[in-house]
Amino acid sequence: MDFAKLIEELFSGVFYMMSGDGIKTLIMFIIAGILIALAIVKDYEPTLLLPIGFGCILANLPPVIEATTGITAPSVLGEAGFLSVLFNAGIANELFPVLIFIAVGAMIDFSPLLKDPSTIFFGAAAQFGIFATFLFSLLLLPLLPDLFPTNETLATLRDSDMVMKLASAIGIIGAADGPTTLYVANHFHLKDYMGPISVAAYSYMALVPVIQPPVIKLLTTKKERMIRMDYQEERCSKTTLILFPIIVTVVAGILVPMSAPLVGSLMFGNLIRECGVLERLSKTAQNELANLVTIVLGITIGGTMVADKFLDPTTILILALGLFAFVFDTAGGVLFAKFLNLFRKKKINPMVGAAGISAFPMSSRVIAKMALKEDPSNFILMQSTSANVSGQLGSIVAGGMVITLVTMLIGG
Amino acid sequence: MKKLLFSLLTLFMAAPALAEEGAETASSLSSLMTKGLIVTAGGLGGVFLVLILFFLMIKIMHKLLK
Repeated sequence: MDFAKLIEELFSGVFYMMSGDGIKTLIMFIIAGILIALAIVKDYEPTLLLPIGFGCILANLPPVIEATTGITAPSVLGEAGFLSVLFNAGIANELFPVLIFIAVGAMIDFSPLLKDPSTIFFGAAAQFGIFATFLFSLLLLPLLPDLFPTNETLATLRDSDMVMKLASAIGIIGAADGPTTLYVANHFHLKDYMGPISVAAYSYMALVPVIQPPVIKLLTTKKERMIRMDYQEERCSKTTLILFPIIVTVVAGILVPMSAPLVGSLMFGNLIRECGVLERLSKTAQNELANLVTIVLGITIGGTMVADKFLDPTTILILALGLFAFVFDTAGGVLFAKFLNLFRKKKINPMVGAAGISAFPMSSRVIAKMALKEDPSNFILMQSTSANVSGQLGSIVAGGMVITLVTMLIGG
Repeated sequence: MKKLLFSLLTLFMAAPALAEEGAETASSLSSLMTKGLIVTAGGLGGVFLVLILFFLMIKIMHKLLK
């Protein structure tokens, strides 16, 4: 037996770490460490960022060299690796986003929206960033293959259809809606970009309290932020609460069929909650289902953050454009509220417009807190919650619209 | 409100036709931005239209169930 070869095989991981690939691995470990630290120390969306960070560590461990075939693959990836199995079982077929939406639907109380539906339009206005970023990405992405001619992944962007697909998924990040972002990215088979897209979507969801307040402050005056809003609620009967998810599913399913899986699962979860006879299932969806899917979803997303694909100029671009989308979504909501105020006698607090994004319930809480900070007796939580649940609906419809229109245009 | 609803409805109904038309012409013009603008106009119009319908639906439900 060749002693040197034996040592090489036994310590293949150590030798790997000392190679050029090892440096990339170390960088990925640092990124994973940052995500885990954000989760534990800063408490930023820990249920997602911690599994994502750990999945990233697992996916970047030194590869196992098969003695017989000589094929190298990290033990958790490869054909039979458990992260690959989870990816194929839950993300490649869109199962995890759908299950997450059943859980989210069971958690959402639509009664603030049903009692005061006037804020529903903010759920549409705050999708502006999606489309602004989509257009901006269409300008930027085709430049990348010439800027980085040796990069094989970027070479795919010479194809204008691929540019359209990637621009769609990047735009949807702005909705701060992880499952819809995954749904769109997966629909367009963007597996190579899944890592940065999902990390951007989930990180910005967690960073709502950091990103939204400065954008809102930049676009509003103190006087505007202090506007009080009367909360005139209509009586909301049990029948309304039960009929709402059914009718929304039918209407959205007819008008935007591509949004049916997400709208349908969200509304199914909500119907379980509101029907009043399935309390056990409602609690299961809100707790066990949400927790289980979050664990596997997070670690699977982390598993897509492989150094070769993640340490790429596209990642920085996707993270930057995702932030751009998020900022413009917030701005879209605020500016729409200000626009409406030009014609209204009873003014709207423009901060409520910013809650029209999908990050529920964090965005509505942030807005309500900001209002209280400006004026300790100004309560706009119900209005911002109403805009926030509208944003949930708006982002799903926007995702469905983008898929439908882009698929039509590229003919695929 | 009626005018807004009508124009959004027209835009939404025209979106698939525009999209198909765009698919034919844009390939010859290689106009990525044309396609982008079609998606943006159709997408934003579609989102507004669907949410307006939800708004009307809620109002009708309130009236009927009063």
